[in-house]
Amino acid sequence: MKKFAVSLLAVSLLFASCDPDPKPEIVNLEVVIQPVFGSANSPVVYNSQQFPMGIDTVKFTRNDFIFSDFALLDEQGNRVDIRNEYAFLSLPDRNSFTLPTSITPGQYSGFAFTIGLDSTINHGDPSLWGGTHPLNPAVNNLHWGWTGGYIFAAMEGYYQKDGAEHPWLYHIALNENRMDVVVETPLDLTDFKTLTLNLDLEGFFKAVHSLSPNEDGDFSHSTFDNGLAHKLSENLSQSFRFASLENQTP
Amino acid sequence: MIKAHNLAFGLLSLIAVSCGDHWGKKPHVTTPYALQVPAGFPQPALPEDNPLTVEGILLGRQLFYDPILSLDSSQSCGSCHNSAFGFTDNGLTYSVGVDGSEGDRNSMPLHNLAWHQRFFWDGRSPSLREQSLEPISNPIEMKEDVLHVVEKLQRQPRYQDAFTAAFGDDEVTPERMGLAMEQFMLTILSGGESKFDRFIAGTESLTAEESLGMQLFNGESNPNSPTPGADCFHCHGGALFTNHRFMNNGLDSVLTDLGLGEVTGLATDDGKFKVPSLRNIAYTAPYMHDGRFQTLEQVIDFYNADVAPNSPNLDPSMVGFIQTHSGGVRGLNLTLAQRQALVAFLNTLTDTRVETDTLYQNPF
Repeated sequence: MKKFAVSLLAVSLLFASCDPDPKPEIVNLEVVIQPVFGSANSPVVYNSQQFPMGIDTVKFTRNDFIFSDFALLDEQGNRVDIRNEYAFLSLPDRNSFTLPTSITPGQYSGFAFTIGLDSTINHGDPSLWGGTHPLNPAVNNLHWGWTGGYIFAAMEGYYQKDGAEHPWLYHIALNENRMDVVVETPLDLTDFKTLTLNLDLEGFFKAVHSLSPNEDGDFSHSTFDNGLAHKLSENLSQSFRFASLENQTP
Repeated sequence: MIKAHNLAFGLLSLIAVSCGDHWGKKPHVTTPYALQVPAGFPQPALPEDNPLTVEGILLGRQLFYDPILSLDSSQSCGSCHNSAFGFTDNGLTYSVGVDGSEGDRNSMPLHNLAWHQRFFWDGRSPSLREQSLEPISNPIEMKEDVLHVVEKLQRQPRYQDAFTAAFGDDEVTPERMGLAMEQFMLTILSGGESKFDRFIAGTESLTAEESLGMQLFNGESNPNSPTPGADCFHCHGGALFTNHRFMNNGLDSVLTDLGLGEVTGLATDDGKFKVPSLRNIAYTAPYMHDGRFQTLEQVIDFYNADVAPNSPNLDPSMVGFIQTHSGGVRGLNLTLAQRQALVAFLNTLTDTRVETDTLYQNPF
């Protein structure tokens, strides 16, 4: 009898210690930004492929961003902030970042972030950031130096003008052009996951305001542009959508 | 008693065996060197596998200035990177190699390399240690076999001592040569002591002309703007006065030097060259990758009116340089006084430290 009890205990212990699917107490989240064009999610080949855009034909060469103010939305839609995290993205090569292992596993209803920085960080001393930090100007090449602050989104490319290729450039900066992005979608974050968001580059020109380099101006540095940068910022903030959520590959 | 004795003997033997490799040998000790980052500069991402040491830097400096690296012992790195010319080649358009061959690109200045990720005008070298070895074997430069240089260095007692001090033994390898020269070049700084830096620190004022130049430098060229701008800061902004990118600034409608495109094989990279820092620009004439402009006035004149709008892969950042103003004037549309003010401002970026800091000078 005693022998049986010991065996039973040993078997129970074995089962307990070999839970095939232990749940983590805390998780991280990898985020991938995938550039696409249009509602069909056509893949984008930078500096090569031309896309029809109203009266224009456009090509993309540079999409650089600074992201901050990350948050998950709980099931009631309330923000669960992930503080003091920043990301620099330069599509298509540098297209992902990982939020730290500080997320409580569970069900969420969305993901939010800001393209840009709050005023304090934006106008703070850029020399304080470490050598590989996303906000180090030598890493992101998005700091405007003594004119103050960072470029939040550097969007560049070419379009056809008078039968020839002509550059377009929109550098979106300044506090009033910060872009809040919210992607509402059920997110099962009970494990370490990779969230992929599509960035629809067609939306950059038409999500809210229909804009054209030919008609609305082919450059802006966010000042003296008749509000062009602000309109583009509104477009950009509406151009992200859910693509997939998958387990991270070890 | 015998058992205890055997145990003690056994323990001693084990200790002796485990320390055998180091028995009687002094541990290799180097002196860490802390790079003094100038005020306002971003923090550099220094190579973690090559920490700066006084011994490594001094060895690197010796190698940098030693003509033994060249085929006929007539040229050192310092021959074409003279500190009196901001570590460029004595005002020459192209450098001349040991056999009289002329290069096809202008010698680049070597300051603030701690913030760079790719080297040479065309970015063909991904690290400073690799870059430092390339001119040795380049047939139009030092034209020497790196392994032959290794043999020559091994025969020199001073290098046996210097390699031992830096690396712990006197073995000379190309890799160690590269690491040492990388360390030396990482220490060459320009910043913190120019008139511009003193102005930023609040210890000196700019003249009215220099102030106008700074305003133009940081201003946008935009017909809608009430103030003129020269759009310099897009590519030469920030404390380092470069964005470290590779760009085509519209020098030519027809490309004769493909630059980055020659390295990557991508037609979309044709005509792109590394954006140089403008710090110490007064030292480093002539200008551009091919040294085509002898003076800063010529450079400003080019940007003001002569950027080629149809240059292949013209960088989108150049859009302000090819715009048409009212009245049909194309380009930045700056007056002569404004162009002169820009030159005056650029001259405030001169930091004489490259000439005077003894750490940077020829030790021979």
